[in-house]
Amino acid sequence: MACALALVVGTLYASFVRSPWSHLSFWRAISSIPPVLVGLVVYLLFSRKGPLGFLRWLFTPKALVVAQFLLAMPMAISLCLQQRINLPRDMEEFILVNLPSKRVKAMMLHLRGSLVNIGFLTWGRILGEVGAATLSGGAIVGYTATLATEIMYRTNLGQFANAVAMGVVLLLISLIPSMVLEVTSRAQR
Amino acid sequence: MLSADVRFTVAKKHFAVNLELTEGLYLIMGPNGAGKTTFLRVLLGLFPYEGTVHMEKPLGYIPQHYQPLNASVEDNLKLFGVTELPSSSPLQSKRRLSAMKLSGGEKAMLGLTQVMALQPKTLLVDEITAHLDQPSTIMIENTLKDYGRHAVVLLVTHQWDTLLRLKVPTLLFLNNTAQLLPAEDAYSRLLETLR
Repeated sequence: MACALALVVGTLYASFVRSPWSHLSFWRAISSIPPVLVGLVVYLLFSRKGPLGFLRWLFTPKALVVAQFLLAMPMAISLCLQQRINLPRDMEEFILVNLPSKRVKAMMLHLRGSLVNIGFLTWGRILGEVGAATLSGGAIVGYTATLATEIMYRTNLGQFANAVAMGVVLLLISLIPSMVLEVTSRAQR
Repeated sequence: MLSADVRFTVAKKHFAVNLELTEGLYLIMGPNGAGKTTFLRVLLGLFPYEGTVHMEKPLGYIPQHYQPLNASVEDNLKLFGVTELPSSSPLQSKRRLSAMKLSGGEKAMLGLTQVMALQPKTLLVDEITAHLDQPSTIMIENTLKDYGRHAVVLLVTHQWDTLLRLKVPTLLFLNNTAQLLPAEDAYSRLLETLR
């Protein structure tokens, strides 16, 4: 869900901006913020005395989704901006002159072809992440635990067999989309 | 109707162009770097200039390095409101294909189909036939000539045989000046550049 929301925001953002170059450096820098800091920000926002504490979202799946969204969004935006920049200057002008009122729609069409790729990369950023998920969701088993937080929890308990099994599942989940992407892109070539 | 009285500078070369064109097809010719593409961009307000430009709207523009958007042919056409294609169109059987997979000639036809669907009163086309084979070039030339009956069409080209085939007035960019000449005079001036 966080990944899907990040993709929507990234696509809209990259479609609307007029000079993507000037925005790219900023969003690239933001993409590399350590996840645990994002978790800390979400924790402070939603903790009882925080500005959004009245929502009572801390240690719920909602806070977890917010943290994952904040992690995924900068990456989705920077990848969408990069894709937008790949559009040659001539084509930017082609759209600007011929379709001034449909500029955003044209940009969204241009970005659509790359969304699967961007989606997988963004998903990869949040899939194995532990710090933000633990601080925002609390890693409560059966409620807000993710595979990554569960692996850490089982390892701490000494349940190595369980941790390894979950590690294999996590590995498969992270590899299968890449393999599907590779097969489909080879078929397209 | 197109009227332009503009002055612009490219790579320290100063150009002054004064034009008044009625409906019809016109060629823009001259050596590489002579200012042809920049002149089109000046007309469209995409390059800084001094002076005035009046063009009847809507405008249509196909740039030098036209590439379709990374989507199907059909989606590229729909964006410009094209839902039906004539059965003779080379794009008819490729509607569901990715537009990036089209050949150079098919991409040029796609660009032309898109822009002509807007029914522009002023159509600016930059070297669309540069990498096309002779039949595709002639087909596009004829399409533009037909369209020029009810619009001002400017076609930038390097191909001298286009000038010989179409025999239309030509705006010749030579030695930092631009002159609108009849086809025969433009051809003679181009031949002089070889001496």
